[in-house]
Amino acid sequence: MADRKRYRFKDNLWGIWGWYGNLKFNLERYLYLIHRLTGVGLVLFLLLHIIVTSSRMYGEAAWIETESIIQNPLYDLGMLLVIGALIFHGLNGIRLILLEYGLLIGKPTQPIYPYKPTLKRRTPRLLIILMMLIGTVFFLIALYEFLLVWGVLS
Amino acid sequence: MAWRNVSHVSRVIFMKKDSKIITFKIKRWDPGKGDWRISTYTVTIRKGMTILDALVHIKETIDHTLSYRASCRMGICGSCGMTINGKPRLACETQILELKSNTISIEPLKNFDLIKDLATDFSLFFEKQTKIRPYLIRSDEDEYWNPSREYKQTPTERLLYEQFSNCITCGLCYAACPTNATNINYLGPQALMNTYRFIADSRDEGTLERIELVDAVDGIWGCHLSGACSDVCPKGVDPALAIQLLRGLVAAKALRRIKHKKATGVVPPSEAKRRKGIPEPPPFNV
Repeated sequence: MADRKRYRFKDNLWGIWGWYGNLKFNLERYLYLIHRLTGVGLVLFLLLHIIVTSSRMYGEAAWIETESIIQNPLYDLGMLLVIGALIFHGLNGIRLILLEYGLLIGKPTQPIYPYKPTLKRRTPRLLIILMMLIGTVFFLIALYEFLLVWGVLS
Repeated sequence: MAWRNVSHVSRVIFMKKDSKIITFKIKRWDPGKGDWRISTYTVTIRKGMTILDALVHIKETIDHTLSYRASCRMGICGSCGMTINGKPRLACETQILELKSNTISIEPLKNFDLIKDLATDFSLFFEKQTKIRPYLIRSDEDEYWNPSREYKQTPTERLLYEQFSNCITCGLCYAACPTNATNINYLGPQALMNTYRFIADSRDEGTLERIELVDAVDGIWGCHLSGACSDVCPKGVDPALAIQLLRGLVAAKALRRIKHKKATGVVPPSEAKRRKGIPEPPPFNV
């Protein structure tokens, strides 16, 4: 639709900065940012995961060699981050599905000053709190498992 | 009288206390060179002054070459949208002292094409607005073009879209939207909200056509629910809500739960009876 010659948008588009850099907005904007970042992170992890497991194709020796590379605390820490990202992305995804089909988002009302968007009303915000609580519990369980593996807890 | 003097003195103190020297950093687009430049102005601000008041002051007394667009100066026309301290706001509805900073940066509204300085080109924005057919779609063509009666609508039916009809097309939601930041073909919160406004209207019959118009990647599915549009809206229109409700309708259509909507009929205008004691108006003389 847009004629790029007619419009000089490159001078005034917010661009990627509009996704990541501009954070003077509401709480949901931060969740949007983290959702995107974790999404990109998970895709990158999936690629890494495929590369790592594909070494099994080249015989047992190659697999043992790869295992020796990935068995270090740094990789485990990365895995913990991946689990954190997965928990956030999954739970936030459920929240988005519930809201985006208009299920828990509320109804139109008469706007009375000071205006309060539906996203800032009780149900959507409670959904965020619930999501955070469940996510924290999941992450603590994962952390406990990792601490057992690392031998910090016995 | 003594109390008058006291009041006068207190007013002077009040003025001194509430006036403040503020630096404005205005990022201006130079269409001749095709480049940006930043002009800095220092203005003494009194309590109650808006950004638009300051811009008028700068244009009248400091720099006549400064360009901006404004009209009604009371948040009705939606002309003076600007990026003020990094957030899209209406210049006429932003109190300077409420920003609580000594340096205020003003930029043209983001995601719009530029004309000069702070003035932006809304043609693509209105092109999208036209694309979603922002008018009632009716099957009774004769009645539509030559109305003889009124369309029936109850207050409850009106409440379903009243909030969305308050839009002043100022473009702040469009500037705040992260999807519009990278995709100029995205319809934008305003156009999608307007689609829902007409679908929710009991007088409209174009539900299925409208859903087909917006059921696209650059339409309804471009929204990622960051809620920035509703956060910046100066009229409480809440485009994020409208877009999610519209998405619910699109999903319902995919599940074949939506049928062609028959609009409400027409009724004769309600007759008002003159109360006793109120005289007849004089005959028209123009």
